[in-house]
Amino acid sequence: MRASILCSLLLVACNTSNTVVPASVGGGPGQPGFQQVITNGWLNYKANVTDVREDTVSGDMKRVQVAVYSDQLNSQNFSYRFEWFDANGMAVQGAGQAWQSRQIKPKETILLTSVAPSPRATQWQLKLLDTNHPLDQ
Amino acid sequence: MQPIAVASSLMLATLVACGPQATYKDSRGNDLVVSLDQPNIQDFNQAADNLVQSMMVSGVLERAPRQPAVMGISRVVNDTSTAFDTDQLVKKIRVALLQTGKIEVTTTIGLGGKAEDPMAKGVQDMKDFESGQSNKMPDLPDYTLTSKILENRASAGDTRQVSYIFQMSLTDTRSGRAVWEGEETITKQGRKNAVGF
Repeated sequence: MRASILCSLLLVACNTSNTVVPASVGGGPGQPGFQQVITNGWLNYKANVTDVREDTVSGDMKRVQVAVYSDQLNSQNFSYRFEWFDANGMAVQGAGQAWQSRQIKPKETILLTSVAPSPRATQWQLKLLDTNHPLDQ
Repeated sequence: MQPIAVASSLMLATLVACGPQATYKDSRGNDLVVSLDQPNIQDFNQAADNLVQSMMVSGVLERAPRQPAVMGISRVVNDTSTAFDTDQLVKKIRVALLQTGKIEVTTTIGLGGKAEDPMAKGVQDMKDFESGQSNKMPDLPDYTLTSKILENRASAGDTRQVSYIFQMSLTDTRSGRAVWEGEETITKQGRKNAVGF
């Protein structure tokens, strides 16, 4: 009883997001390298970023592709959202900025992609969040 | 029971008994209601996001006869069991496309010859008349956009599943051929509606 209560409280209390940003020093053409800000260790086990690639589509719009790996033995769900910024770091609203939910199978690597909402959007960050059903548990 | 267990139980009981009060939510957040009987706002968000990105990745607008190209909105069909305004999808698409700077949407030429913005059409006609260009060819769209939203339902025991299929075609008005088509399927499964995804 006590354990289940504590687990419930911990699950609700610790659902913080992990953030991925391209590294300032690149890893090669189209592979900028990346930095992760991990605030949710459990989420990082089931949605661990392993690779980041960038290219340009439609002439002048940046596209990013992020590989996410699950180390778990069961299928897992998580949510993600790409956020885009201009050269001055100001947020650029547009397509690709709603939270989306994905399922990832055991030991699987999936790809998350996003296209910049505008040619002005040159910087990005990816936020990952554990799937949370606080009123459905 | 230990005091801590009693306190925790009371706290949980209070949370459950009171229930959530009405509050504002981020419309693009992940703690929205997920319904099995209707499309939700996040379904339109996801469909619009992915369809626009698909169009950008295709590079079709790079081959447009002019930059920015002009697009007209053609027929949009809601073929689901839920009555909703299809602008929940189409407006998001328009906003996102305009933001790319690669396309503009005409509001003076619409389906069936009806202008979406009658005042803009009237002002345009007046300007053409006053400049002696009443007989000039109107600025016809380079592309038209059509869309259809479908629904597919299935169940197994108590588990229900619903898929909403968002289909979209972009037609080049010079050739009359579709130059880009996109389809985005959103599938939801469960026994009851829930909060959060």
